[in-house]
Amino acid sequence: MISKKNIRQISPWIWEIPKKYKKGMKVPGRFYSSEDMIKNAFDDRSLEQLSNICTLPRIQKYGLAMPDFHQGYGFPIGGVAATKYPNGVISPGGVGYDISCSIRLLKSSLEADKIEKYLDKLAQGFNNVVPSGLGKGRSKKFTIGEIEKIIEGGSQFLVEQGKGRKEDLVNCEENGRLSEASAAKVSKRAKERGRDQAGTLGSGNHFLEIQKVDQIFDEGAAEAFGLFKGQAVVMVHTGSRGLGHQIATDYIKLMLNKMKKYNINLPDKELNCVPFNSEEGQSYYKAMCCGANFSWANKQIITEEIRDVWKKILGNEEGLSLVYDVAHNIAKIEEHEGEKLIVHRKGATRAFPPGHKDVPEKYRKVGKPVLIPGSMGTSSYVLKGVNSAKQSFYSTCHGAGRSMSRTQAKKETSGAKVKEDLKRKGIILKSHSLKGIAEEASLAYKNIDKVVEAVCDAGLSKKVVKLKPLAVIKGE
Amino acid sequence: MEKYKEIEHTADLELKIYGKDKKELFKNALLALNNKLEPKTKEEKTKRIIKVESEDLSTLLVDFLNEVISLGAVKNETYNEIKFIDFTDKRLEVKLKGKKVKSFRNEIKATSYHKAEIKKKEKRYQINIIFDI
Repeated sequence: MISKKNIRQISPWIWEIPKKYKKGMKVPGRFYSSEDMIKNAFDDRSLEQLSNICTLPRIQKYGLAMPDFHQGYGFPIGGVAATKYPNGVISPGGVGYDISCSIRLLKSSLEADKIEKYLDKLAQGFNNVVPSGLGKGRSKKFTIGEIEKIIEGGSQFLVEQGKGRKEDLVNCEENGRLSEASAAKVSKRAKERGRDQAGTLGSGNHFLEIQKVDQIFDEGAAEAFGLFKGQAVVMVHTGSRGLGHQIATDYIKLMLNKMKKYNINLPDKELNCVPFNSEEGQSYYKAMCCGANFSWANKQIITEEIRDVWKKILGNEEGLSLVYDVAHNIAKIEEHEGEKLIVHRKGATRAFPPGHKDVPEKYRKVGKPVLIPGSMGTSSYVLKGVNSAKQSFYSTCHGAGRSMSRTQAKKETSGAKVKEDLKRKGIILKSHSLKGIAEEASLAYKNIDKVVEAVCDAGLSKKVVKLKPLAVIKGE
Repeated sequence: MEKYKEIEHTADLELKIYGKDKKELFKNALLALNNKLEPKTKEEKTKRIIKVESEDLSTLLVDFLNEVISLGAVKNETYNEIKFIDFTDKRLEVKLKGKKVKSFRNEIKATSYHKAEIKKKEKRYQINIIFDI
């Protein structure tokens, strides 16, 4: 197992696992951590997993782990790996089973204090209209034909059908659709799994939250993002549900069988990959784009459902408008220093700087909005992309990052206790059961404030606003 | 004899599964998966035949579990009985029996191949399986 003697410090925030640490490493591994947080970096297999991703064929510069990194399987969570386009590898394990798991932030025109007495009703209303989807999906099942349109058209298809506003596309990463998507590359089983899951939240760390803009760090950027102090906002965290899980399962199995064909040997089966420009690589990429489109469509349906609840309860015509929607489990083709790369981010968020062509025009002067969810009952943040994040292929953290296993969390607390603690803090909790609540308690996560400090001090992003939770809605 | 146990994992669900022979290992893996999904079942019964082919026995077990997860999700079913029709290190054909479900308490996205290697220790087969949850 890796220990502190195997690593060296590059800067106050950057630590390196040298190339010589493990046979097959093509580049060094670099991870971000404060002096304070590094004590726990050796507690699990995450750094061993970071050294493993450095063996990926045609990986460029460094394998990276963001400050919220922790153990996953294959890639560490918080892992970033960029390979050379077009013959570098694409790895479904580097994207994960929840393809395009992402965060969406919706803003209102209302002050949170003014809607305080309606909060319980709103939270209950959200909980009623957004099912968890665990065997009990939406009552209306889409046909396979409709699913095919959704996975090729993403949010764009839904907005064209009247399910959303034009600005929902303008303010969304990739305008809510990856055009390379091909439904023909997605199995019938995956499409079947999606039929009753568009518009469902899922379980685990997925959530819906009503929040309040609690603190502003950057007035100019906050104004550009349409955020003001005291404002009520809604955050959505979910992904591509069973459809995405099945695409990942199908292609991980396929690639395991094809690695021999391309002479690829890796220390972990879960890192399986093939060259991006191979037949299998192209098929996966097109299917992954379908997963991303489904994820946007999923959140678009949720958005429309909660807009109805918002309007019905508050009579507020302006309702909820999209600030941004950004993925943290995805592979993207990007240009870095004049070179095209395939950038895998698994539990990491893309954070382009001011002036970048892929930042929506209305935000381009300030940089890309970066949405960082906290754990249950803790703050969340909106950050912005900065030029100094060039060092990480413009990647930053994706949340607090777990520090404790689910079993341990259940030993330390209970669902009822978490609910009680939240209540004491004035935070409403709605869920279909209290079963998974203890596992997601904030004590099982790193301190979000410290993670965000580390991210900002390391030059990966800058703070714009801090969001305080008022009501949490969990799937299960 | 212990059929499976939970191992600490920061983010996901890691189980160590045991079996006196290969068939029992697969049977216990199915049992562990079913227990962890915590289905709320209906009275209506169901049976399915599934076939899986893989390059080795460890991969076969992961692929088998993935097939069960995905079939159960699509059909809203859970399976607690297994009858082997054909079973080699690379091929599996089984008849599964179970019940229709109202819902699952937990969601298991998929079974990963990470560290999944069948070993024989003290006359028992064992494997560590990490489920993405």
